[in-house]
Amino acid sequence: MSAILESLLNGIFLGALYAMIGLGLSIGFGVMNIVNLAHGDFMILAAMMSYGISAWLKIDAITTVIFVLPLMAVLGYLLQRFVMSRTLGSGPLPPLLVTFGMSIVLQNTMQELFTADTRVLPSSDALSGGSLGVGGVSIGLLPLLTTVVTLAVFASLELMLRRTSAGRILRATSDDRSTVRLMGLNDGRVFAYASALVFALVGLAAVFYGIRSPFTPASGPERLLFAFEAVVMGGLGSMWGTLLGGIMLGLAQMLGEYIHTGYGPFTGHVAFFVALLVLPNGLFGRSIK
Amino acid sequence: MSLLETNNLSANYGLFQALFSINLRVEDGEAVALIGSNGAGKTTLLKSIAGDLLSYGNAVSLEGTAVGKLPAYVRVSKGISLVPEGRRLFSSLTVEENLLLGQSSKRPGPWTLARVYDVFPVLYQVRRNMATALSGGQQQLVAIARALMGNPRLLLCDEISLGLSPVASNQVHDALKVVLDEGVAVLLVEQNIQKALKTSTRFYCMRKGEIVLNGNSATADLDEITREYFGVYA
Repeated sequence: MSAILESLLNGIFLGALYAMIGLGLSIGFGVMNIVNLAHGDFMILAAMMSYGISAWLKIDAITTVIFVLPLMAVLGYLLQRFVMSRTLGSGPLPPLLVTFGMSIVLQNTMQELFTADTRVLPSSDALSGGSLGVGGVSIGLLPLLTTVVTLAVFASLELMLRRTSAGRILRATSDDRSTVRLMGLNDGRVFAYASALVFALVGLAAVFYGIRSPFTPASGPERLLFAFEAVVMGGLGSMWGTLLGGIMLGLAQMLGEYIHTGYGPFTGHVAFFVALLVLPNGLFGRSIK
Repeated sequence: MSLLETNNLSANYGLFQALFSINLRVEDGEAVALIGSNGAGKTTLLKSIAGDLLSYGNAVSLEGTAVGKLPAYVRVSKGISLVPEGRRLFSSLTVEENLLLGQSSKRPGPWTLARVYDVFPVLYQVRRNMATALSGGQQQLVAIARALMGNPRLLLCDEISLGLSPVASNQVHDALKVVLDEGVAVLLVEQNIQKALKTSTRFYCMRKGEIVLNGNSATADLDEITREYFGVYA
């Protein structure tokens, strides 16, 4: 009994991680209508950054978020302002092609620079291996922390979107970009700030994912796939849908692993397939346009 | 010097030329009507003035300064606001949030949230409702008030009574009178010729991308306007 309970809990924890990765995709699509095919590769880049910083400063990988987040935000801002902005306005294909190209360039450049070695972000044993025993069920500290951080990020983003003028501008831009221009706002800059936010979230997710599981320069696309499944199951552009979609995916994967080790990704894809058949628009449809 | 002047303003959509050498002016605080049938180029002209469509430098000038190449968001900060055709309210924002977005340019002036609610009390009552859940007339008031929040010197209004009931349409035109009393100049695109002439001091009539007639609204000859409007000479 406690074994299946543990699997379910781990499914929720894993799902929270997928949701954190998916959140960036969801905002990128919701606000800017851009699907970034290099999302996973940028996450690996952020993980490499974290690896380098933690080796250089001899600090725990979890502490590197204070450097990785702002660095990624700046990268996201510059990339949107000077590269992605040129791809907008002539249909959905140019941004797709450009991010696809970036994905290939990033993977190969990272392989050249950092070799194809498998790495794990170094973190104290207490965090990465520690667990709490609650009534015979053992709960990993790292997955628990990941989940708490994910929930905090979702909640603060919700507050930001509903209560602040920046959030108001993001929602309006998501509704109708050209009318935002008529209000006196430079939509190009709004996009750049949204992209900075997305990349900061990528950096945050990268550190948690990198401590949890090993990665190589080529791991990006696989992680993008899971994040994508979370976003699509939840409903494109819906923030809370992404959280639920991620948890559904995590549960499906962990139940698969409970049945047989190695079934995890398979049952995850099956759940995704079934969800697409039953709810083609996802759980929450398109609440943000 | 006129508040707004266009100098041989032309506009194209690809190979299709929508405007041919438009020369138009609006004086400070003046109400000018722009009339013409569908496809005459009225909306294109307003978009070119607002910066939704870019032209060359001095094709559009504001108080003698060339603004034709400036994007719409810069022109808003210089005092040109557009109430777009079909209102284009932000559907996931409340009425008040829509209004607040209108002051994004931070241009100083008399119009604040309090002032807007003072002038349009009905908006205060519905301020927490989703903007697109209102009636057409109320939505149009939100669109006008949202543009006013940018404290414009020139308000461009595109078909603001289109699709409204006669009562709502009168309310919208009453709102325009308040705006004019405030000293804001208005360039008004309107299908209803009589209503347009009543609200304005001067008018321009467009057909096929050109201005074919202009004059004083008070002394306008309706038969002549009708002829030029349709381009039929009996």
